Amino acid sequence: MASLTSLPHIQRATDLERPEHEARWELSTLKGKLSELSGHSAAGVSVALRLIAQTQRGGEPAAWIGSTSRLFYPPDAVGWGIDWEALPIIGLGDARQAARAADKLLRSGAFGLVVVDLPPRAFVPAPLLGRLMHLAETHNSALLFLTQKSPTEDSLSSLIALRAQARWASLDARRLRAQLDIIKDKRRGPGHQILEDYHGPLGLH
Amino acid sequence: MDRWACINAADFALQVLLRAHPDWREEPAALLDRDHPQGKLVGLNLVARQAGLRSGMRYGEALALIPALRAGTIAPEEVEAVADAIARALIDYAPQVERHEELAGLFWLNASGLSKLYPSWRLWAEPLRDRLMERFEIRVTLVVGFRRALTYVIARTSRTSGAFDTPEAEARAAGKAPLSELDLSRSDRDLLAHLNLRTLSDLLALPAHGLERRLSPALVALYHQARGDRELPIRPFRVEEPTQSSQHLDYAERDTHRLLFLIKGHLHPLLRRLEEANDKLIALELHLELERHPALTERIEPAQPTLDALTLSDLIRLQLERLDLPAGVTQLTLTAHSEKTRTEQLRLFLGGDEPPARDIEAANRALARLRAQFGVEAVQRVRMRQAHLPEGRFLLEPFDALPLPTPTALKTSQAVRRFYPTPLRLRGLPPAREREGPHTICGGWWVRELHRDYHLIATNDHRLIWVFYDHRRHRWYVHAEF
Repeated sequence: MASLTSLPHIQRATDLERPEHEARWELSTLKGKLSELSGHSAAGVSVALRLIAQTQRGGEPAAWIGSTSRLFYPPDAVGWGIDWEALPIIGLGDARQAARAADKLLRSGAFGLVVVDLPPRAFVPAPLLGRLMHLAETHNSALLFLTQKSPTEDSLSSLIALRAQARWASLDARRLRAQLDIIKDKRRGPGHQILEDYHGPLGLH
Repeated sequence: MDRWACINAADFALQVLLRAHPDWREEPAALLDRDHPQGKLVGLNLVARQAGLRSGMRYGEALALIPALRAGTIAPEEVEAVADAIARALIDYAPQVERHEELAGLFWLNASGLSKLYPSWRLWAEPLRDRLMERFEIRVTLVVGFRRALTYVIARTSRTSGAFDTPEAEARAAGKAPLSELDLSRSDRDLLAHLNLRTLSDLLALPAHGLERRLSPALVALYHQARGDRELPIRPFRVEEPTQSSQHLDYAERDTHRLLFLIKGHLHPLLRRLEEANDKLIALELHLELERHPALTERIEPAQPTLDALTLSDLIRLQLERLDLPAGVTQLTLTAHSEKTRTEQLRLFLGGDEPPARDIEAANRALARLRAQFGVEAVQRVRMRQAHLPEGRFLLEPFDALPLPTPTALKTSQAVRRFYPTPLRLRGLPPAREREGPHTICGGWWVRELHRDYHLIATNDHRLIWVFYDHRRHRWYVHAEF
């Protein structure tokens, strides 16, 4: 009988090397998954717009679904180089309708990224999220939900593969630093942080 | 020799504007090129001209002179729609109707056979003028002559209508027409005044040789058109009857599924008729007569011209699901709007060109489905524009087709605010760690005066909000948040 000590060394989970440099909120990380970016500030909006610009630079269409009464401010994003003509804004304030619209867009297989900006305390039915996850996987598209909640609150669903809490780490009006605390990552595990620097507003308008 | 009747509606765009504001007719009224104090006056009614206003003046300047001035803009599509409606009405008077390519209020009727029907031109022309006035509230001048270009010159420069019995009489009248009243640019009018060319006969007296070197292309074109060497830029007006199919129901149908099946029964023959005419459907209008309720009209637009019944059925289904019928449908009418099928170019894949990563036509089909399900206004895109107020610096507008993205290079990575087009009222300012401002925006005196003091506030609870104090309402508002 073989001695237990002769068995190959088993690495403990905590010993596993975590590739921090890969754990970024890039489009490639988000593709084929449902992701959620939460926060009470609008830091997530800047992150989402950066992802849209990245998607368009890859030659893929992106779409924004959300209420037009609390939209991003396009003049701020002029320097991102976004092609506004190729960015459809689906003006739907209701969470279920927004998710159904995302279903239609993902089903077409024509969008690399769909951002769904949900209102506070939004609820999306699990079967609908299941369909969305399947479509994102099938068409290798990224579906990003923007939600307004604290880190202690539950994510939209267990089907969310990646969840981060976005907040401003520094509030200098000239230079803003977004801090993304990864609180759920089904692939690499949670607990790491991503910092992104943005310029502050150029004047008032 | 053919007889042509030229119908000219002077200041056509202004007349269309005044149709929408009948109370302005007795006041000084003007048409602006844009709704802004720096906008130019491009059309003036008689009262405004008599008050001393001139075309080309700035709106702010004119308003300072005549505070009672009424002014507005009009969309080119609206002007075009009225011109189309007039052309359609003119078909009742003569079989051949033509329109000027560039000037919206200018029409020609081929009046060749009418002399046999009417003993005098007056008997034909006067009811026509009265009908246009009564039906469209558009005042026109009508000139019956022998050549389009000469009737145009006379109708454009004369305030009265009339007919010419001989080509010579027409040419004599046209020769006396003042060139300053024709549709020429300011530089052309200045050049003509400089050369002391006052009337058309003065212009026609010039030798044709070397004219291109001395005059602008517009003046050379006028010269040749008046001599009869060239024709005016005209296009025949053709009434294209949309393909229709209608059914009267014996009972009031409320069930949308059964309605869908009834509609499908009409859809296939409609599409077959379009196919036979070498057309493709660009929009389908669904008109539903309701029992004891006003009728409903829904418009279904596929992503691209199509004859695919399956796609259309799907869009109709989505549209019907959205409808909340207040009563049963007693009659349904399907109207197909179409365009000619064009031969699509074959895509050539040459040296290294890669096909796009995603199918943009599939994206457009998905957006068409969203329009059908949630309404046309649900699918929009951003258009940037120059404006004074933050909320005016962009607008959301519907669009027809989504192109493949062609982004530009990244210049700056600026943080993007979440913006509230309708500012949120604040009961009081939250405690602030830091504050920047005020940055004042005031103006809008020409419409609705405003005075806002904007502040960027870092609050104690780690929020960065963009607030303003409205001096007129004496209240604080949040306009955006970082």
